[in-house]
Amino acid sequence: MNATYGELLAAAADAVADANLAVGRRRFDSPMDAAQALVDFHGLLDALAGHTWVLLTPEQAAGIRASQGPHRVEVAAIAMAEAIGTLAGTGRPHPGMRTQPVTSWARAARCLRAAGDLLATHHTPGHGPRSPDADVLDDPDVRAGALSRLGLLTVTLLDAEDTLALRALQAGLHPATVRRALPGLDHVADLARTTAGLGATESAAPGGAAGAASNTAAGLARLDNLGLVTPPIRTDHPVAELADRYTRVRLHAWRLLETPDYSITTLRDLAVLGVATHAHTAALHGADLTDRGAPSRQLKPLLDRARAWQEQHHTLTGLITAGPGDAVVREDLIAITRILQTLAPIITTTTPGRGRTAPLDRPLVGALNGAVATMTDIAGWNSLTLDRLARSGHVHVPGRALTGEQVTDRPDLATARLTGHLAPAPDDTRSAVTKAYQTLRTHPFQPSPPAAESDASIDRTADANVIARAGYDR
Amino acid sequence: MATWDESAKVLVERADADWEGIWTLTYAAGRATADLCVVVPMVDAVELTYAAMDLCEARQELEWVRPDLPARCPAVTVGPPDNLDAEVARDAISRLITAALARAEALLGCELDLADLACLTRTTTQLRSARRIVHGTAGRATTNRGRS
Repeated sequence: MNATYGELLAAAADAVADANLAVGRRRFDSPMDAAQALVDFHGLLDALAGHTWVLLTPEQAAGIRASQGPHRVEVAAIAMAEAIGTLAGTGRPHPGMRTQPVTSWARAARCLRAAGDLLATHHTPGHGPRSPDADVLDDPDVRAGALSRLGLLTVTLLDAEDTLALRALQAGLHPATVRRALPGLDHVADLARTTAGLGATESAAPGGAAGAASNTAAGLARLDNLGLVTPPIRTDHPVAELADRYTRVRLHAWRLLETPDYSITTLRDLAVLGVATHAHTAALHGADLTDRGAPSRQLKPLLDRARAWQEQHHTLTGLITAGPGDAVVREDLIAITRILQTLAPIITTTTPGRGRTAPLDRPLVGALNGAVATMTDIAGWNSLTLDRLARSGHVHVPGRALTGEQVTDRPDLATARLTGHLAPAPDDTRSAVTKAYQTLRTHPFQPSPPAAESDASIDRTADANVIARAGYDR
Repeated sequence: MATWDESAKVLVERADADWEGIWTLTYAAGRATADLCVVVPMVDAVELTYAAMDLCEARQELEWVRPDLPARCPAVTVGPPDNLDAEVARDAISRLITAALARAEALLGCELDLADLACLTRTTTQLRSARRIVHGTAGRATTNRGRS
């Protein structure tokens, strides 16, 4: 099973609700059960505080403390985590973690700790990025939203404090023991309420900016969909396999930024994947790919994008580099094209039963929509990868493929053309590839930016962000 | 200007039965397939893209054991894809691939080391996969069908 962050958090919330309900409905069977419940209650509080420090790094917390105008949610969350830390102590591992979970509170704590571990897989020990999604919590609004949910979970848990104290006393635990474990946590509950309440207010309030709220919601959805960095490929269902393989291809395409394989082959394979993804998605929605004429208005962007990837593949075919391609990308490409051919076949005039009468398979449509978005991300990263390869002199063309115009004023290229040796890729070829990637890096169903005419119009700000995330600025 | 068919015939006639000949024919077939991809309808273009990928892979297999091939061999194409009849173009590409395959088989009769043998095996697999697609398997092809 490949759990996501959102699923783990939802499981934790369900477990807390179950435990609260159970403690309210019936007494403990024995003092031992009551003692276990107290330990698990504290274990969950400790997990909540620990998860706060997952969402907020120590450096960010120090920045918030020193800031003149800090985010109020973050301030409240830090205070909440510190208050819980004072109560739960600093001994590690927490006593609640030493046994298998018995109560639902312990199960909730385990889910929460697992969610923290899942997020940690996206970072290196030095908090550098290990995946393209490592930056999801860099957005303060998304971080505040995630902290708010944590605050809400804490409020729900602390709602059971009085009931738990009553049940522990009824079970026969010493009153001093109960008082020590549950001294009255209203101050923590107040901080948790502040964290939870302020999160909702702040995300909607400033400037009434619907766009900002929408971005926050999209960021939280991205956070919730986060899985492990390198999940195993599920082969029990073709749609699940498709999604997993696209995820892995995306990760490998992103990693080329930091650890390039000095190969044009990987970029070419990714271009083939771009062609297949868009063509099969269009076919799934009923596009007639046998016709070169105008397709339906809804499907035209997909077919245009497939054609654009194909042009890019055509250009890349003429380039030569020394390194071998990424074997994982190749393996995934082969598997993906086979699955697509089965699940979303390209219908031809000779295909029996031409035309689509069955309803669309929603999970498959979802997976392919995700794949289109993935290819958009990949185009942006590939642009940088190729640019870097070309600038470092790793990309060549056969000398005889150079045109007269290209060798004018370039004695080295002219010599290569005459001798037939390899020559560095000419600037116009490099800029043509970069320009094509600039078009491909916008989603096919989003309005395109003005056509790029020169290097000057290339989105360097986005490039700088990606480079920074990939750790080049370190 | 010579048609693709004429250019392919000349290339097949003149290419030697050695590593250089195989590379030149594979290069020309790969470029021609990539050129054809962008002018045919998408239903054929997707599969021809797979064929182009296989041909690139075949060429790289050759370059892996003979790194000097790209610098030494004539990188010739069959011409621009203007006013192209897709079926004639497919025949021309198929002719180039078949010629490369024939030269690979002929090379197997020479004294080769293990790396050369492995290279020729892999190259042949890729070339056959590409030829199957180019021969026309619309709606059924995927990448690298020669492999398990």
